[in-house]
Amino acid sequence: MEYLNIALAKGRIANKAIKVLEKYGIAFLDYDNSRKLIFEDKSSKIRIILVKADDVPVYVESGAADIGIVGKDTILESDCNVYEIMDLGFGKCSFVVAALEGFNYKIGKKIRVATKYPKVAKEYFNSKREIVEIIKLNGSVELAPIVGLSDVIVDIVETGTTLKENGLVILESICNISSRLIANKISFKSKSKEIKQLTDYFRRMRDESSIC
Amino acid sequence: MEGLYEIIPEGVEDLFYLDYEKKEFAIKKVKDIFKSYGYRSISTPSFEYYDLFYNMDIITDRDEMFKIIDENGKILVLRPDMTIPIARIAALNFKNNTLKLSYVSNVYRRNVKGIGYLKKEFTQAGIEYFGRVDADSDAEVMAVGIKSLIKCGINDITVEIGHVGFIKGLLYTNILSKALYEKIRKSIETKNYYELEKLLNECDIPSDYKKVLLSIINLYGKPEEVILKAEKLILNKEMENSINNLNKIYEVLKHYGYEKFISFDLGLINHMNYYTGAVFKMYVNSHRKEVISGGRYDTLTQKFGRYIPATGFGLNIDEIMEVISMDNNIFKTDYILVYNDETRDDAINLASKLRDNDFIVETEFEEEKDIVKNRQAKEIVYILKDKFKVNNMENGAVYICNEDKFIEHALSKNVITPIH
Repeated sequence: MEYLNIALAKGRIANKAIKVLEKYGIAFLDYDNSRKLIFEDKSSKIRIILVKADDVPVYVESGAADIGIVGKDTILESDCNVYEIMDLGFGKCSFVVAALEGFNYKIGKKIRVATKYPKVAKEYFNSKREIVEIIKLNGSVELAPIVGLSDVIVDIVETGTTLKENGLVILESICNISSRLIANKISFKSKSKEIKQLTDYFRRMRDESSIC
Repeated sequence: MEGLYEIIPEGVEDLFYLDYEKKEFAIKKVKDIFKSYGYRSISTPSFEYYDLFYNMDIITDRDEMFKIIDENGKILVLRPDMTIPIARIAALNFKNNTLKLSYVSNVYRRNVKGIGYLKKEFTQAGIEYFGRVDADSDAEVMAVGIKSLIKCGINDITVEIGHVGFIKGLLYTNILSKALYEKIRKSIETKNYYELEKLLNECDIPSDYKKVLLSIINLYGKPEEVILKAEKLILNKEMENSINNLNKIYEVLKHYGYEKFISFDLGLINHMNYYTGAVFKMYVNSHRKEVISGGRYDTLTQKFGRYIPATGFGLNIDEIMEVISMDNNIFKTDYILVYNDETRDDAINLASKLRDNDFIVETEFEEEKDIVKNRQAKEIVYILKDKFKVNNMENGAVYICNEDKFIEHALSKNVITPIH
């Protein structure tokens, strides 16, 4: 039997997913404190690969991984060609537009938007027929309005603490985000039994809300 | 500015001989199959007016086309696919019965949307069958696709068949905003049950339609099972017709002996504005690659003023090349004949005789002996005054013989390189 390859976003998502898999009886003994990027469970024929969140859709779409766990934010930004088979219910947060307290839109003036998610931001403002200039940043987006780099930011927010500490307030909410299970379109059919078993398990765990 | 003279642009590549010969080999196999079913090959211009593609519900995104401005200020595009030029040819040349056309051409797309390494120029082979609406014509087109893959040595394939009529029957009877329609379509295409459920809760569609829309996500798998499930979900004539049509196509494909490759997926609904009936994709399982994509598009030729029903597919030759494994040996030179001043005439005559028998033969003057040793060939033949010294490069054997014996040996081996 072939291995089922799962791509996980390094960090919180991977830790959570591995904890859930452990309860399923799949143990990656050397996971803790290891700097390895590939782990296998020989008995269940499951292999996990740890990649950067942005790369999970790349691995899954190309078939380098059969399934993957990644935030909806990354899926929206990448516009990947995969099946999105389940909302795993963890990693909940939302996409918002935020600005410095007291900020007002000026009519007729282009809004400068700093974000790690240029595609999401552009589509959102386009759909509202608002004309914007996108500034792509790779982190610490909250800084942009403070130093005058942008008028607003588009970012994901979990509790809002970071925004608050930097004097920013939420202007608009774009959509909710959570971790999703995605599948390669061909693997989904050719390894349907294995994927279905795992999906059913994740669904049970989610519905018992033991992983939320 | 830095010179780019040593650099090849992104998305295109050079193919050195072994790779390109393999590609030619695959193209020839595929062309032979197309021809054997009576699909006549045609050629169309590499660039066309942008207007040709502008008003079409086409497969390629308009932003993905390479555009050029000509000397009159008109916008041209490098052809992004072959179906539309062929539809034009069909509309111009169609008499009243059937027209079966095929092509192998390079097509060009900017391919900015996808992820990872993306080709911008690729070789597409395909067939288009005009003038018929029956399930037999759909099945034939699919059968030609399957046979093309098998002939290229690819057996690990899945043929997934869907039908856009089923979902059109569901969606078009309800009035939806374009944005909502697109969201529903996308969540079905990505099998996103959760998102679809949420969307349907927000919109005004009868509950029996909602139930069926949600079920579509799971309407895939073995043909018999899918048909059985789908039959219970039929709500109108269009849905019923599409299930009957699928069933019929499957029955015909059984006669070709291809039922083992077939699975159904009623959620296969990409390019729904373009397709009008049965649609299909063929995958190579172990490589997780889609190599063929096609379907029925009865309304396309109307843009050229005529209604001609049609079905066809495009096959991505470059993807196939990634999958095919081929013995490099079959592309090797068969014989290198080494001669001297005395035997030049013999060598040139012998070479000509062997070439007439489809062998690859090179001749070398003996002073190049040292070079010859490093050459790739099946046998190196030293032509001396009254005998031949033959050095077999594959097993290292050396033997001496005369010309008649050598020709007999060469012809009896009957190993003809496939390049010819």
